[in-house]
Parts: sequence; C-alpha cells; structure tokens
Amino acid sequence: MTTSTQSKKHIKVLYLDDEDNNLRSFKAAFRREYDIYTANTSEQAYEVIKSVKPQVIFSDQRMPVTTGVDFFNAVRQIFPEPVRILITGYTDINDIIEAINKGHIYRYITKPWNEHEIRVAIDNAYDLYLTRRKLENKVEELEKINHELSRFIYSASHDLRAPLATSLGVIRVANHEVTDPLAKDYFEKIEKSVKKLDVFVHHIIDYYKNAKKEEDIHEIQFDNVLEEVIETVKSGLGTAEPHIEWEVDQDNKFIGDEFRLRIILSHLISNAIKFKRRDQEEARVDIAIKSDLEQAVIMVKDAGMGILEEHIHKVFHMFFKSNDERTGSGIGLYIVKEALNKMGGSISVQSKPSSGTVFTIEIPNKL
Amino acid sequence: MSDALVDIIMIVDDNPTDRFVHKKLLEIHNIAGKIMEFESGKTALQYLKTTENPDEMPDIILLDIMMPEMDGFDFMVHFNNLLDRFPKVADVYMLSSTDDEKDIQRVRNNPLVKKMLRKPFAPDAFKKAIKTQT
Repeated sequence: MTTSTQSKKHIKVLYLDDEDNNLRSFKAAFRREYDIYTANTSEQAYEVIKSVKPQVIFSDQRMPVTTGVDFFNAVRQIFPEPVRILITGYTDINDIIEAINKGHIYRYITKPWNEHEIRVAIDNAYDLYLTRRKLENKVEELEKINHELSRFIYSASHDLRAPLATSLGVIRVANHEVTDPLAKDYFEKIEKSVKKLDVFVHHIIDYYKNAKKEEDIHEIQFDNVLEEVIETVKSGLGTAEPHIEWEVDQDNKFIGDEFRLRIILSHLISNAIKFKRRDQEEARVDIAIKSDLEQAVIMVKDAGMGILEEHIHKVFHMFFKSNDERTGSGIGLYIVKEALNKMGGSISVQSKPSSGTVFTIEIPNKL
Repeated sequence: MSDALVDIIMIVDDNPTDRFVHKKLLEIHNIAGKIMEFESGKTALQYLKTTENPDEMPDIILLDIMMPEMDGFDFMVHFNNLLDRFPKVADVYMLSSTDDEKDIQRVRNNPLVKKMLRKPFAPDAFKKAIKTQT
C-alpha cells in the first residue's frame, strides 16, 4: 500500500470549486496519494495551471461567474495537455453530454462523489495523459527524422553529386588533351566506374524523393518535359550519341505529377539506351506519348538486347539485376513502379531477347 | 579568335576545378573568343558594375547555382538591376550538379535565364543551345 501511495504522489491534481468546504474535504481525502492543488475562482485556477502544470483538473459545474464547462473550454485553448473532469449534480446533464461530445471534458462525476470513484478517475485520467504525451513525443520525433531525411537528401544530392560531376568533367577535358592510348584506356576505366557511382547516387536520391514527396500536381506539357529529360539523359552519356525519335500527341490540358513523370521517363530512356545490342553502333529509342482527357499513354521502345523470358516478371523488383555487366543499381525500374503507384498509374512490358523491349505506361489525367 | 561562336563568356563558379573544366572545354570547342573567370557572384557583379567599355561586357554568363554566400539565384536578383549596362543583355545559363525540381522550376520562371545545364559541362549541348537562341 505504501509503495503504490508513493508512486502516485507525483500526479498533480487541481480542483476548482467556489465552495471552500468542498475544496477542504477533497484535499483531506486525497492529499496523501496525490499532489492536490485547489482554487475557488477560475483566475486562481489559471495561476495554478500556469505555475504547477497539473496533469488532471477537476471543476465544479455550477459556479457564480462561469460554469465548469465554460471554464474547461477556455482552459483547453491555452493548456490542452491536462485531462479535464467535471463534477456536477444530475440537473445539468444536457450541457454535460454536449461538453463531452465536443471533447471539452474527458468525463464527469456526479455529486456527492465517493473517494473510490475519484481515485479511479484520477488514475485513468493520468494514464490518458501519459499516453497522449508519448504519442506527441513520437510525432515530434518522426517529424524531426523526416526533416533530417529531407536535409540529407538535399545535401546528398549536391555533396555526393558535385565531386562526381567535377571528376567526369576533368576526364572529359583529359580525353581531349591527352593522346597516349594507354592513358586514354585508363581514363575510360575511371570514367566507367565514376559514372556507375553517379548513376547509383541518382537512383538513391530518386528513391528517397519518391518515397517521401507528396504528389505535386500541376499542368504538364509533355513535349517540354520529354525534351528536357532526353537532354539530361544525353548529357550524362559518353560520346556515342543515341538515336532517339519521339512524338507527342497532346491536344488537351493534362494535370499530373511532373516530378514523378520526369523520374519515370529518365529511368526508362536511360535503360533503353544502356541495354543496346552488342552489334548495334548506336542505341535506337522510340518514344510516343498520347494524352487525352482520361489519361496519358507513354511508350518507350528500344531495339536493344531485350529481356529474357524468365526475368521479365522480376524486372520491377528491388535490387533485381541481370547478369549483364551494364546492369546498374537494380533499383531503377523499382523506382519507376513505385512512382507510378503514387500517381495511380500502371506499367507493362513486352520484350523479345535480342530484338527489343517496349514499356507501356498509363497515367491518369487529374484534370 | 574571330571564328569563335561567342565573343565573351563569363564563368562564375566557386569551384576552381569546375572553372578549369569549363574554360578548357570552351577553348577546345572554340566556343568563346574570350573567357573571364570569377570565383564568386560578388566579384562577377563588381566587374559588371564597373566595366566602362561596353565591348568588355560578356555575351554569355555561365553561372553555378550552388555557391557559398551568394548563390546563383541571389546573383540573378542583382543582375536584374544591371541590365542597362549591357549593349546587349547577356544570356545566362545556370549550371547545376543536382536535378532539384525546385531549381528547375525557378530557372523556368526566370525569363533572364536561358537554360539550366547539368554538370559535367557538355559542350555539344551548350553549342546547340546557343545556336537555337540566336
């Protein structure tokens, strides 16, 4: 008994009532178990709430200046944390039901109260208080992590990418100025692995951005977006210019998530270029976009090496890699699928080994 | 150097290696008659503010986005006040190592910026962009 008495002592309870007799008997009954504070006006009660921060507040309903319900309604605007309990006679029942339903008070206790009832009420209210606090802390913690993750993505996208871009630039210059074939061979090897890392960094950034970002919807001009994406993809390539043909048929306004559209297009186009057949001089890619009021259908077709039958259902899995040495991080197509999921779109693939692959995408128009 | 594509190109980038790369590639591809290098937006603005000879104003500015103190977009705010110093206002190309979609949007909304170019600097794409502008 002593231990449980002690363990509850830290629960701070405030009781507001205009009748001093009530306050005295309340204090006498519970002061051994809880930290009891009393007030006979709402001004006094505010002072106590401000200075000692009680976890549980009781208030009488019938008081000369304000009612208990009004008092609680005002308190919760400024101090939402304490759990509020009303003490009342049967007569005001309608007001009280309304107050409970509106969330102004946690529960009510009818007069005359008995000690056991109050004790149970305090303990339950305190449990609720703790649970709410834990939840708040968790939410705060998650918000902090989320915030840090966005900052990480931002700095990763610059601090990791920038030195790689610089290195690739230096290699580009060196290739012009150095003629020694042995040195060129070394440059090529360095360039290859820097590019691999560069692609991997891109994929990681895309993955996190896609996972985190809310849908960002506005009007899309497919020809502009496609042209920019093609240029970006090309600028990341070496010397061999791919042969890309594209056609956009857009008569209507299209509303969608441009950020994710870019991710999808750039992954599919770079794949189409990367996986050309060994006997092909240059990669050949055909892109067709047709959009109407309902949806946009995008086809990305290559004449490349194709996908083996037994691999075709696995290409969208995370970290799936074929045996081909040109294979990348294994998350590119996974990101495409994830991005489409967020946009409510779909993707399908048809492929024939050593003759080519067609990816067909459907994205709903959010007009 | 009269056969160069552009007379004067101004490079504004805090990274010396990137400046070296841009300068070299511009030279190799004979894109600029004269190249000026600045390691900050501040020093570049100082030049634009004080140059008396209109022939020494750049035709094109290659502007890095991510720079300490004054970034590329801050530079553009000041640049906006200097337009009447140019006989012909310079075309600005912004350089970025990220594809941050906010940056893409900001570039698109700024009529003074012709284009955003991705690092590493790609001379062929740049040449094509210059030609389509003129």
